[in-house]
Amino acid sequence: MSTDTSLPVLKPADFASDQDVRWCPGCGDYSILAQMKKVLPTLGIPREKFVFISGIGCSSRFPYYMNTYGFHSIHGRAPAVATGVKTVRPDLSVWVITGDGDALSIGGNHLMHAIRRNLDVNIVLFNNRIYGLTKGQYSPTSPLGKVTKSTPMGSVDNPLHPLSVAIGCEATFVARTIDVNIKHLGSVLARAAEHKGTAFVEVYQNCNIFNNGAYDYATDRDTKAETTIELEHGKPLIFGKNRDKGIRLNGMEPEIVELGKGITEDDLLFHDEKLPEPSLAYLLSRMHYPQFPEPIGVFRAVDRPRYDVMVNEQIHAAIEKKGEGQLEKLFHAGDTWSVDAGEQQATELDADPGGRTPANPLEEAILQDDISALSPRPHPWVAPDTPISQVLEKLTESNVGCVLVMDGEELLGVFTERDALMKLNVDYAELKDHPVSEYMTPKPRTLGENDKIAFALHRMDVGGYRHLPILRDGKPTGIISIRDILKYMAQRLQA
Amino acid sequence: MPDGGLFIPLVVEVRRERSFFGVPHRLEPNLNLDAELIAEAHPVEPLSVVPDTSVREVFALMKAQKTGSVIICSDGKVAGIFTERDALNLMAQGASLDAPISEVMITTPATLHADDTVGTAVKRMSEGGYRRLPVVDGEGRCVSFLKVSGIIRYLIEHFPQTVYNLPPEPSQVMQTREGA
Ligand code: SF4
Repeated sequence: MSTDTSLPVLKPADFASDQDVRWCPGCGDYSILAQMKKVLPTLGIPREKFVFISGIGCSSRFPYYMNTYGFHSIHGRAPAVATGVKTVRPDLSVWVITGDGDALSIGGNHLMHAIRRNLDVNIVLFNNRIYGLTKGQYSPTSPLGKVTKSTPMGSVDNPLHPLSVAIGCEATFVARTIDVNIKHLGSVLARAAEHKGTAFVEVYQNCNIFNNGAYDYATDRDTKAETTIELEHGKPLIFGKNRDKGIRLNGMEPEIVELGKGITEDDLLFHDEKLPEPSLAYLLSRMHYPQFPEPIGVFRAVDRPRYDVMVNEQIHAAIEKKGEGQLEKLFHAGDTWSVDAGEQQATELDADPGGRTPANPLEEAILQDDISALSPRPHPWVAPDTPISQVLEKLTESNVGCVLVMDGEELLGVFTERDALMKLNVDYAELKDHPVSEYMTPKPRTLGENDKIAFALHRMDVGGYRHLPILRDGKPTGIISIRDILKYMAQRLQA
Repeated sequence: MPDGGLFIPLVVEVRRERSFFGVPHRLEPNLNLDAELIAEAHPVEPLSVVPDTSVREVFALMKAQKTGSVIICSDGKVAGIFTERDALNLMAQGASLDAPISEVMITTPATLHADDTVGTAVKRMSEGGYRRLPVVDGEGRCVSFLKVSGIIRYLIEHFPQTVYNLPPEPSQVMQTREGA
């Protein structure tokens, strides 16, 4: 972000656009807009260096109302657009304006990655805990039990807490403020603008049309001293109208204590926004009304290398080493290949799987030999209406463990000695006149005689099959059993 | 070929397996079936019954345990084996289920010894056409069951990528690399 103090001093009015503001009268967005216009002139940045990028939602109309560059982009994708803008033009002051739905539902992923990269942008999330633009459905921050148009019996979705999410994404700057607490709002926006890296700010914003009063507890003159607690770096956490209450740590848990009666400020939790580990910030982000006063202010502000800087360093280093690149050349360079749609090579298995050389002759053999090398034996078959008694006879006479059940040329199923034991069992005498189709294993997995033996191993070991019907041109020619496989492998081992 | 001749010459590559804690716990040359004991080939717990158990009970037990064979033990020693193949024969004959299992079991079955190598097991199974063999200890007690599927798995474990990373259908093999 560059500063230029030689320019004429800007006033808030210089940032007002000629567009009619279309938010509902009384919407909290107005207050945020006004504070933004107040803060920007104090930053010493020329107007043409500001960019406001938004997604979709009430708050996302923000760029229209600022007399700066802006981009009303795609739902949830403002962080992606901002990443591009900031990376290509690191000199700009880039602001992402988003809402609870846009940032946490539709754009959850984009938000997460912008934050973890620590791109130098400011993300301001207007949290009204409702979908305003679409007229009152619950949002990812709506509390449990919230009755809305889409949750007529109360929401059963556990809400997200934006600051906890941001901290989980390794945010380097995390803050919370409230739309109508304008002094606080202004100072937090200014702090966010100063931060080098992703600054994430949650603003409690009242949607007076669809979720009026969601933050009354935190804005009401009579209660706000008890329901909110202002964070100050290096200071103990004290709150209450008479500043007589504080937050103390009891092991890993925060607790409310009253000052006096043997408890002094030194016993309280001291805020430190610079801690390398985000645990304290996270703990604070988990303090919710009504169990606790809700912290407002800067939770965390630490330095970490920035995406936009590092990417540009890499680009410069690459250009220095190799000269300017050409997209066209890059596009056609190196590791490309074309897939010929006409040539479907159905059964050729690469004998060098994943670039590995077969470790031993056995591995090589199973990759190269076709299943026909196992000489699948022509197999007894029966028609689907064959009675069980005849099928059992066939199995014993032909000394095989499995018969095919065929309807003409079509393979319907198999019946194995295992089927006999598991399905007929002690009832076989009563079931002996039933047709085999009732007890067969229908639609068995098959392989082609030109498939590699590795596939048979796969079927038997992973699938647990002991018999596999083998097809030629789609018609069964025989069966292989796990014993055939063992014999084959034993031969290869002795070879 | 000398006894135990199932020796595959050592291949240069030595597979180094790492345990959960990153400490190498096994240096394994490829496929040395004559050095490794059958305990490596996934033996399973045997299902055993006493000789006077009825065939009916044995059938029900095999179904309940989803197993294709039982060992019949007398005084702790292996007296016989009964498999699903034998069950099939009984069903085909329409035999009575009330006889004791000792009347229909295969007596003096082929066995393996717990000290036998995988190579011996492969040989005995493939030559005899067995799908499973009881494993006995020095006193003739049945300690486990070695199944052909255990041996197949043991062999696959020497080249798991080659088998386990195959696509579900052979026709799915791509001619060229595809990202997704
Ligand atoms: S619907 Fe709610 S959030 Fe949207 S403009 Fe109206 S008051 Fe504001």
